[in-house]
Amino acid sequence: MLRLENLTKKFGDFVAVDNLTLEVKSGEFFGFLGPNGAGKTTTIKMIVGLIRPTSGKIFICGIDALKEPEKVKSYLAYVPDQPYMYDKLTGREFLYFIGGLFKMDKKEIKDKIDFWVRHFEIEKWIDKRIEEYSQGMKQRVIIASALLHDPKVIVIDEPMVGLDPRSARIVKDTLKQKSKEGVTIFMSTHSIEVAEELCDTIGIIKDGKLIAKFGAEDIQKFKQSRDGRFESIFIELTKSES
Amino acid sequence: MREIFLILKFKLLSIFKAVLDSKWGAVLKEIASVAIFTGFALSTFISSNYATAYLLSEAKIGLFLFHRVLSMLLFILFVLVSLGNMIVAYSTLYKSKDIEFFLTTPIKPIKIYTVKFLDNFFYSSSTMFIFIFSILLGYGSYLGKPLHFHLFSFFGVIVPFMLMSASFSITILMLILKLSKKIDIRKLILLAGLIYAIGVYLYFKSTNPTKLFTEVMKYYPYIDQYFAQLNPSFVLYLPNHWVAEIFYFSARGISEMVLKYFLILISATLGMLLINFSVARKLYFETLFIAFDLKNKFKKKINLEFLNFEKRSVFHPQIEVLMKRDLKMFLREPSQWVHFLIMLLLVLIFIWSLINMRFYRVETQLLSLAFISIFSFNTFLIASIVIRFVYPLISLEGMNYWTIRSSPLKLSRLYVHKFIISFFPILIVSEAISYFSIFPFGKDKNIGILMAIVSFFIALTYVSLGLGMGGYFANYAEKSPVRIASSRGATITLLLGLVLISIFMGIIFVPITFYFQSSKFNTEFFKSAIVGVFFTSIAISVPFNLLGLKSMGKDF
Repeated sequence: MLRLENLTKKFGDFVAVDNLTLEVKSGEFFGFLGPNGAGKTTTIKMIVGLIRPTSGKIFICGIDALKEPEKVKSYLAYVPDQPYMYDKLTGREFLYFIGGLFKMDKKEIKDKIDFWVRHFEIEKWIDKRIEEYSQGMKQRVIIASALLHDPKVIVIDEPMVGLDPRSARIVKDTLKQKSKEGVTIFMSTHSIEVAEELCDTIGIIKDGKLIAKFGAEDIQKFKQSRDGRFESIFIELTKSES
Repeated sequence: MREIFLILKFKLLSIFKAVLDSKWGAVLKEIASVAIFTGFALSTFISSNYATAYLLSEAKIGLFLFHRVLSMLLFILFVLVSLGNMIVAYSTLYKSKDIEFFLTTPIKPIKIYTVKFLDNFFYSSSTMFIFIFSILLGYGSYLGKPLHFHLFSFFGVIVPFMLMSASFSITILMLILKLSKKIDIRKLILLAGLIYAIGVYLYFKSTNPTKLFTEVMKYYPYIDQYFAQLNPSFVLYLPNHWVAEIFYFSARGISEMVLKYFLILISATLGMLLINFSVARKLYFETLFIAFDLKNKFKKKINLEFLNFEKRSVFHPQIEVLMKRDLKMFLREPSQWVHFLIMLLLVLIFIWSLINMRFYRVETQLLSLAFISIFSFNTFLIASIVIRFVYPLISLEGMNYWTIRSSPLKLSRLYVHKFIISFFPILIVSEAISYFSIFPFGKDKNIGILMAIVSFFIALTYVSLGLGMGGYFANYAEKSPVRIASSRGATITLLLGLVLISIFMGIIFVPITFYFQSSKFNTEFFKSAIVGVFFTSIAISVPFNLLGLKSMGKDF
């Protein structure tokens, strides 16, 4: 469903992502972990088309994302780490805007908005201007906008930032449910607990390279062989060589 | 004082670090900027020198009339600096991101104000400084003035003059914000706008430049005789008059009078600064919170049904939501629609003055010059509107640009949308002022057609220039359209726009001069002018549009 082949991104002399190859299957919930500056956000930005790779290929639903970007993006949803939105629009207007960009029918947009607004418990705020929202509120609207067009692949960068425990629970359950329905989820996070709880597979990136990839069983084995905490493996793998 | 210097030091450091970026692309950008600024300064110097020489040696208008005209220009400068500072000050003093940070530190509000005041003054006046210094050099070199004259004129006369204008306008801004607690701010802004407009109107009504230039011909070439009897009394109290008098008496070598007007100017500037900082000490902190709350005051006032996202429309869904988004955001951002109304008002005033303008007993040579001058101003007006409203369009996608870039929307479609929403309003303004500009010259249909065609290509070229450069210098992190429109990229675009004015005027110069000299319409000349304008416009529009489109796809 999502395949990265030898993906590289250089900013001048600095190699942010170095020859990254990985595959995430249909319905798989992939957690992308790594220390600060490891290349997680750069990888995600390349997948969703915000940054052009220096070399390598990206395939989404079998389509080359660099050759047919618009087609690929119609299957894709992106939730950024910073919830930047149009301050002067209301949450509902923002959702209609996103629906329009994905060429959805007005009736379908309306039904979907009604559903997700109820689901994320944002009825009270949805007709207020976004400039009045808290970060958590913005995050909920953005996640709703990502789910509006029934994407096949969801790329999500730090989804729990700014969310209160109840909202975080709703978001986690929603993403897990989507994954069960066959939606591929590629999630970057700093939270090892969130990754452990939600993900089928976890990849660890360091200095732009994928240094480890664990399935659920591997994680359990590793945990048993050490102090029972996945965090220890992460710290061990990502410690800087001096 | 220590805090002020510390903040200024780090501000300057951040500017220099950005300028001294070692990447090749950035270095090339810097070289290009320096070349454009130098070219602009040089051409301003040459134009100023030529204009001074022409008016004093060829047209022989005399030192007195020359400095009366200079006084009028300085009045316009005062108003422009004042308006510019007031508009940019609202963004710099009340809306910039670092204000919130400074408020959490133990720095006194008056010190924050001092830093932001200086930031605002130099930010919104930096291009004006280059422009004015070049003019001074041109003027001074014709009169054979030494270097210290130029330094004195600039630092001792022009800078205080502009500082007075800036202090005045920011004081007004703080008072408007303070009064907005009791009176609707829109009424206050309207009132302030009206007072400015009435002030400008009364000034030109009493100094009456049109009458001046038509009456003066009776006395030609002994023009000073006519002007000896002219000087509306209230003008004596205006700072532009003092500055003009400094230059006038300096040109005549009367040092006592220079000193007199210099002391008046400096005293008035210090007085204005004192008033400004006293008002700031009392009001800045309070008005900061008033400004923070302003955005909550004007919600849901404008509710146009056709902009409702839930309504279906005949447009492609992507185009439809882009149009609705842009219009809603424009109408909900006061700095956008207020400036739009001000620009519209200025265009209407200009059109009204064109309708009432007539050239009697004017020589054919002067008629050509007047025609070219009016069309140069038209083009300058278009360039200004483009810089303010078209240049920021790509930057205004802002940090929300991820929504567009991660959606299945072709960037070319977004670009075309931006082009269309810019081009048609600009075209309408361009054609309207072009139509009325031929009124003072007898409304000849042929010349009207020529200028309508030229105006079409002027609109096309300037919109392409604005969008292309706006994309190339896009700053998605800057939210304020005013600051985007007064950024370095915008300044360079405006300078390129000024160069284009001379190119377009150069193309129409021959047919227009021929037309006024022979009172005949030469089809061949007009055809060649149209072909020239067409090819120039295409040669400029295509690369700039490609640049804009390519820039929109840059890494985000």
